[in-house]
Amino acid sequence: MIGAMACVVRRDLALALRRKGDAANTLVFFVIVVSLFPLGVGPERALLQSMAPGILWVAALLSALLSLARLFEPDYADGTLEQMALSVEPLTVLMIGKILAHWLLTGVPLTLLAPVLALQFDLHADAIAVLCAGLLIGTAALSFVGAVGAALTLGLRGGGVLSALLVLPLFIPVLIFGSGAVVAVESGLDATAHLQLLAAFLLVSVVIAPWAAASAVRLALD
Amino acid sequence: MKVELSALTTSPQVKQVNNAASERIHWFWFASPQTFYPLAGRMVPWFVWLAVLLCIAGTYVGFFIAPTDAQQGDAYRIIFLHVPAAWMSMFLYVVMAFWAGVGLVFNTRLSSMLATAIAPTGAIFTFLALWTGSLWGKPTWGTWWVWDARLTSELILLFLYFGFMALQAAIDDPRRADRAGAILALVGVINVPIIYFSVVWWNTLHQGASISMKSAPTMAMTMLLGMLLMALAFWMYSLATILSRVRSIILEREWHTQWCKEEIRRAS
Amino acid sequence: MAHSVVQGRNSESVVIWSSWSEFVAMGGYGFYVWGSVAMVVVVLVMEMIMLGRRRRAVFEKSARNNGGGSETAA
Repeated sequence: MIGAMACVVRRDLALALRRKGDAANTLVFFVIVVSLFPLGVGPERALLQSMAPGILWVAALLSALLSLARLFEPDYADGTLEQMALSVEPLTVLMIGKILAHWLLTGVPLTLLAPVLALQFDLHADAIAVLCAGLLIGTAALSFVGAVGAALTLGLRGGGVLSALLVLPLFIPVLIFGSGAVVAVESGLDATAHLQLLAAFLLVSVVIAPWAAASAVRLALD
Repeated sequence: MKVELSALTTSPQVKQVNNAASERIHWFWFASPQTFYPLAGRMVPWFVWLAVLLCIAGTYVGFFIAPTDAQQGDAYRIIFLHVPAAWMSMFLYVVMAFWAGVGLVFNTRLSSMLATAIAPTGAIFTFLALWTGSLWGKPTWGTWWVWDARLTSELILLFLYFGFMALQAAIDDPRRADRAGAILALVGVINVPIIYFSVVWWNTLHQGASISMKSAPTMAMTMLLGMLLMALAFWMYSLATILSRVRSIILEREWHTQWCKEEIRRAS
Repeated sequence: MAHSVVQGRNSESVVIWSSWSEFVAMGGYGFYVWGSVAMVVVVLVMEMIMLGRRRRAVFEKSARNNGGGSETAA
């Protein structure tokens, strides 16, 4: 079962390597969205510093959302998803593989890019460390929860907007705990409680989301 | 998992189970749209009358018996609408998720139709909770909108209702719409307490103690009674509209069947 | 109707509204209170109207489908 999962992850990574543009676009989008905020609210350093956690997290949320459209759609179009549903391996496990691959392709690069952007907002080193830790856990949760939305809207007209409508409210706890952790560090408090809650949310979504995504994919294939 | 009604009632082995769990079989009997349709039709007027009577009683208690609040003056009377609407909006989401889940697990069409019928009424009560909350906030807080835990989580609840309805509206095949909606509602209902908790936490971190509607200094018995009566009135109203909407949904989906054709002929 | 009597905490009688206009004014909060009441009434009545329309639409649609002369045995 682990083998099948690893196989799916390897396959998705190989496919992504062949089309590097797709993964890169998400990152460029992340950078652009973050850069828009100083232009919108003005360049005052103190204001931007206090807004930075929220800005970075909202941008990460939107980037994750944008990349969700590619999570199942290509496999749905070329019939790979159908083969997965027919395979002897449980679809739920294969879903976990696909979600992990999605996280490796979007969440991890976002986390690596975030410190550079955080410097633009003059965040402290320990705040940046907590931001990265939060993003690493949080983007995984986003990939899991987002997979449900992507699977539910598979093959529907206007699927992209609809999936945003379904998934964004469910992202809210991640946003609150993730940016809350950075705000806590910025104001000299301990951020472990936030990160633990983020990890708890991730665990809950790891339990529920693959099952829900697998059922939704089966529905779309019927 | 499909429950074959005819098999259940004819097989002698199941007959015993039938007696032992007559209550359950009874409910499965009404799980068929054909038997539920006339039953719902008979129940709707009752719920309408109950709603009207309870609403009159609740308005009387709320506007003529409950004393003026010492701190908030008469503006507090909005809570006789706001709190029951907020209760109903949350309660209806859970009920919707329950019936959607039952429909998903037992493959009973009527349960899924009920979930579909509940969503608009739930969204309406969520909207009313937001509207009345905003009108309550203006004289109390001085602004139309405050990001307090209660209003914010009501807003998110409204998004969740919109998501459910938009998803079902986007899918043409009713059975797929039922199941997709059920998956979303189940994921949503697990998330609702998490969202509520996180919003409360976020709120206490960011603005400390704020005036909330819970902190009405001494909730007089009459105030509680008024709220309870209005909540019951809204509940009865919801039952009436949901049952009435379910009847429309049944006809929309099964108009080609013989009993529906007869029903439509008789009604029009 | 506007004269309502209530048992106060010390079981003395308290008249809340002494006149109709005082009731409408709601102690200066009339706009907020009646704005809430009005929206509740409008929205709920609208929902009931929509329900009636939806029901009639089903009847009309099925009348078109069944009464088109080309009725097939279903």
